[in-house]
Amino acid sequence: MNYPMVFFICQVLTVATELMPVAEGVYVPFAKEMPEQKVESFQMQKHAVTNEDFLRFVQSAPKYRRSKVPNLMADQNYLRDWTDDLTPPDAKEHHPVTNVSWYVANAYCRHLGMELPTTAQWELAASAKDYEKQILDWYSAPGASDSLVMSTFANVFGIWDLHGLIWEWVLDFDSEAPVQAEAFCGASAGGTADVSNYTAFIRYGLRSSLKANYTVRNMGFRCAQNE
Amino acid sequence: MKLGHIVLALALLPISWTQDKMPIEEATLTYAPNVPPAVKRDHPARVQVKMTTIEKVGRLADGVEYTFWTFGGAVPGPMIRVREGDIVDFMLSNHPDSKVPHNIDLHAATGPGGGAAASLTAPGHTSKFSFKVINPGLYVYHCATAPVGMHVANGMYGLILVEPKFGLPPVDREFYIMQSEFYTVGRNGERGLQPLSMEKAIDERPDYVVFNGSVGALMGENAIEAKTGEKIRMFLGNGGPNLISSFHVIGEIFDDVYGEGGTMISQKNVQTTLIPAGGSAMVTFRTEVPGNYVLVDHSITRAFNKGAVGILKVDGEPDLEVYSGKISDTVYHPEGGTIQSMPLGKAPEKVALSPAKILEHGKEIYETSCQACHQAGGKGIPGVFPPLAKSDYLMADLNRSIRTVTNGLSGEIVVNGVKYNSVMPVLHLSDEDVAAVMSYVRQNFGNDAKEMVTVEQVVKAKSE
Ligand code: HEC
Ligand SMILES: [Cu+2]
Repeated sequence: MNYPMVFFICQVLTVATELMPVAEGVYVPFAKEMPEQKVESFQMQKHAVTNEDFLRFVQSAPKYRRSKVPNLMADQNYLRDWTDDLTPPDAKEHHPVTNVSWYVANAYCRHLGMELPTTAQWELAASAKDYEKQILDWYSAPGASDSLVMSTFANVFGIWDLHGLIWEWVLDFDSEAPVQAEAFCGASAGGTADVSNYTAFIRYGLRSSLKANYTVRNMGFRCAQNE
Repeated sequence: MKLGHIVLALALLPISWTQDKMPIEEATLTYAPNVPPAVKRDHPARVQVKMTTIEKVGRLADGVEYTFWTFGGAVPGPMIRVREGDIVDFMLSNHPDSKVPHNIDLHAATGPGGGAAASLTAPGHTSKFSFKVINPGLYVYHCATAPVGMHVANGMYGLILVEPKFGLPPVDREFYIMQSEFYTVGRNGERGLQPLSMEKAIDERPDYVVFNGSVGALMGENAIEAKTGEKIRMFLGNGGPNLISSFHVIGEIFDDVYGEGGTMISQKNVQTTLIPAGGSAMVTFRTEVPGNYVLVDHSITRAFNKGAVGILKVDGEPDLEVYSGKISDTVYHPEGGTIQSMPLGKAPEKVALSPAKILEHGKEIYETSCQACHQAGGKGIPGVFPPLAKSDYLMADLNRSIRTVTNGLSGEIVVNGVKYNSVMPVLHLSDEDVAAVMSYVRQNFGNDAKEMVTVEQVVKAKSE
């Protein structure tokens, strides 16, 4: 590895959240007819992007400030809780930033030399089945999320809050869309791998209800880095 | 053919209303048990329907809360009423605080998913779609977002009535009643915020079966009311998610049943009608005699033990020929929610509370475990269930009254000069609950006790 590259990575780390390595593995898509995917090892941010992180981003990238972003890239609720372009909600600098569209989340990660995690990467890191209880508890508490990052639990990879804090964008959020239209919009769960995996159903259902410019109060993101 | 005939024939030619010529109106939506007014139009219109999906905590039974997923903030969701041939412009908004997306499948719509795919809506967004109501009838709508069982189990359903072109026969009163069941982690009556039990839902083992979204939604002050000699129409829906309802009104016979919510009278003179899960029925009957008529799912432990009871209160002059008023016994004891059986004893729940709190708790126990028989205000039903209001029997002997509740009671007794010879089952209440409910009844309903009944007194009375 040459010097400039090392320098580049170091700079990323000082600006952004710590990255945690995720071991390679196999991801079984929720849609039955999609083949299993091998996922190479990669790194993912330890916690979701916070308001403070995001403030730094919009300071250095003015075109993503609330007053500048066109509706095509983020709907009217973009950064709704912020007082203005450069003022995150009071005393919430360590809360996850929410009401951010896919376009802007994607731009954020790229800005730092990273990417949004793919569905396969995110689901692999989140190995959701073991956490069904926390996830269901979270649904049954209605209302907007209002907690700090790193306030729920860390998984085996040392990655926090994958369940029970917010929803998170993935790079290919619409990748299973055609199957989802069938699986989520009818009473029968046609093409899905595991009809009793209710929590996966909900995550995939949410993804399929979104467009790239949508922003959702309970939804934020984190970035990943391929090795 | 004479000229007059030609004019008449022309007048009868169907007017074709093209879409852009159609008048536009906003639908009147009503919450159960209320029904929107009949459609007065003799031509189709574009009808705008706006609904918001809201996830919120509400009361499922006394002391029991649940996180409902709702259309319009209520279970069941609002009732919609349109006319055959109308075009419905539907706007579905999902509240920004929602955790999950929602959509709507209207059984009245023809097309893939009944609108489900077109209406899948992320939190904080609004979807618009429209459909033509081609077939008249009474239809269920529900959320169809996966996992559908979970969205329906959490309360997302309601009714849409598509009136036939020539309307429905006039009646004096209409009611909107929807049955459904809830699957909670805690058993029936277990207090606090109860999460959904997916396991019980999959096994179809509900803890609550209710009319209009909660235990008691059609009881006490919320009872539906009518007068004698009126024609009543009930729009009945079943949200499920799983059970079929055997809907019956104790003491009434349905004159006409529009089976499964269709437009034809499928049967006359019906005692109990089936309402499929995700289906409906329409019934009409005439009220003859005043009194309380109990609505039940006649799969009867659902009514006795899980909440599927409601009251239609009919006021007016008695008609002794139709009904003498002399009752020897009842076939159906509409007991409260407490499990009844013979064995005694159960680990007491710990309640260390102020007298005011204990009385409040006693009131809840009264409403869930006693009121179905002894009635609101302890009035009783003459000849069947003795009154607790100003009851000389209750007040004369504390130990005996406690034992009535802890051990049950049968045989002839005299209360306020009236003879009763019936059976009160053992109610499985903890000693604390018995103390609370006895304190409550002895200090209310015109009874003048000043002292609380203590747990020690209950324990002592039981052992005598
Ligand atoms: C299933 C119907 C039913 C339920 C539920 C029920 N009772 Fe009774 N109760 C009766 C009947 C019937 C009698 C009369 C028994 C007889 O004739 O021997 C009675 C008698 C009584 C009496 C003595 C008579 C009087 O009027 O004072 C008391 C006190 C009483 N009940 C209290 C309660 C309390 C308190 C509860 C709730 C914890 C309760 N009951 C629940 C049916 C019921
Ligand atoms: Cu829903």
